[in-house]
Amino acid sequence: MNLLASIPQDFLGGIFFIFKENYALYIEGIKYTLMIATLGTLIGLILALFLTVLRIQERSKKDGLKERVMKKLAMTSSSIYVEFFRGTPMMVQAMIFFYGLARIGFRLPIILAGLIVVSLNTAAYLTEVLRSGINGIDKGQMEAARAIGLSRGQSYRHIIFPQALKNMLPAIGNELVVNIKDTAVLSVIGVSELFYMGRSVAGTYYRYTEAFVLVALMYLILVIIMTKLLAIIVKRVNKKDIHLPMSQSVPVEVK
Amino acid sequence: MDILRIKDLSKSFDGVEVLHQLTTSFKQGTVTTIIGPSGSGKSTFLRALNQLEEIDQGQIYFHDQDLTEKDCDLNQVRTKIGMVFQSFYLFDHMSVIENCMIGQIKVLKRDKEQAFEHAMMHLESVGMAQFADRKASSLSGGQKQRVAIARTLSMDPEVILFDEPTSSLDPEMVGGVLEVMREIMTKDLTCIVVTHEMDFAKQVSDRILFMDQGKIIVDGSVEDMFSKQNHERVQQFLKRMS
Repeated sequence: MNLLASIPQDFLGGIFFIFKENYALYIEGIKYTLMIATLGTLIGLILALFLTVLRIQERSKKDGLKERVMKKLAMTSSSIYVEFFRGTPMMVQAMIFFYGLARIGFRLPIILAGLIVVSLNTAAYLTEVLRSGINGIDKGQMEAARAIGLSRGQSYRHIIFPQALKNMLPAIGNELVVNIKDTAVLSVIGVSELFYMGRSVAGTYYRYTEAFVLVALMYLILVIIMTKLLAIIVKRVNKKDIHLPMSQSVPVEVK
Repeated sequence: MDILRIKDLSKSFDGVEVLHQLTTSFKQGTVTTIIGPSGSGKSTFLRALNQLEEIDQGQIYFHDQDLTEKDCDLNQVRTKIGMVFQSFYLFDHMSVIENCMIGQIKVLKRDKEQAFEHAMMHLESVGMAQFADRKASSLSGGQKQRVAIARTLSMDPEVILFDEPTSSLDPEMVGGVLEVMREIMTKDLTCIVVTHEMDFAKQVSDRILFMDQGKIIVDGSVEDMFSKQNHERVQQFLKRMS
């Protein structure tokens, strides 16, 4: 009752009051939001690399029945994974994953469960991003790699993926930004990220608008900072990348 | 001695036959030029020789190894049958020297120092040593092709397949690349070249093949092809090229 009485009644006053009294909670929420979004994107990227390898099987006339079946199985399982995780809301996935595991006796720490859900979901989206990124690399790069004797795996590892990943940095960065916002849905399983903290604060004062305007501002600031940081990284990575027309006859000085 | 033997090689794309039961062989240390109109199957034939293009029928023997056998280690074979492409295909994310080292390190298992020295030697031979640390993407077309040749040479191949190596270049840069190729052809390497540079073909070839509609129509010496040729299709082609 005291809490409710002490909060200013006007909108701005309410916002300042809530922030002053609860900034530690919000910062705690931001910490988990950033941790889950960043780690989830990284783990998702690694899983996506694996799923992409499964998906881009090379068919050969020399393949026997066993190889053909194995390749088809790999491609199909990767496709089903991607379709499932892209075709269902992350909120639902979180519920199934967390409560489903609990039902069969695995009670994961909530933060870990949230991280796994974001990673699995990100992997599905990044698999599609990777696939289109790889398709965007000139087929000649693979041919040149194979022509000097690199195996298919080595060609992807040393020639195709590095170039594709570089081209896809903006899309991967975009996924990270989306994850910062989408971690909000993990509040359904009780992950104490920013949205969860906002709801908790709002419930304390019965001032939902003020508490969530603060949450919105914090998401906005996080996203703006992250977008700027990513832009700097992309610029750095592409700094020395100069592509000339093939007819260019004068070499360019690279500084 | 034959280093490559091809027997009854056929290849189709979507039901269209582009190579029709080709049988021929290539002697070690010789230069063979393949000429012919566009769409005659020259490049497909060349790409079949190192199995970048899977064939439908026939056999390809490198020394006595059948490359079409399932258990043939094509990765090792490709280190011995190098290829230079029309569009260079340098690895743009790497430097010039890294382009020439990656295959040596990953496939030939040379240590970095050894690979570096070997790559530098070949970059030197194509006149590109001073660009070793440059990003491949910052080079001109002619320079890229010379680096692509050095990359192939760094693997110590026995055969080099040249697939229209000057077709993407400005006329001003063609001479430099042809000069490098001429130099290579003086060594004990087997070179098979698909080209439209007729003067070059006349100067360097021990043997010329004329292909049309997926078949080898004429197989002979430079003199056979350019001076004594009565085949109507060849005459038409040479007239158009002159």
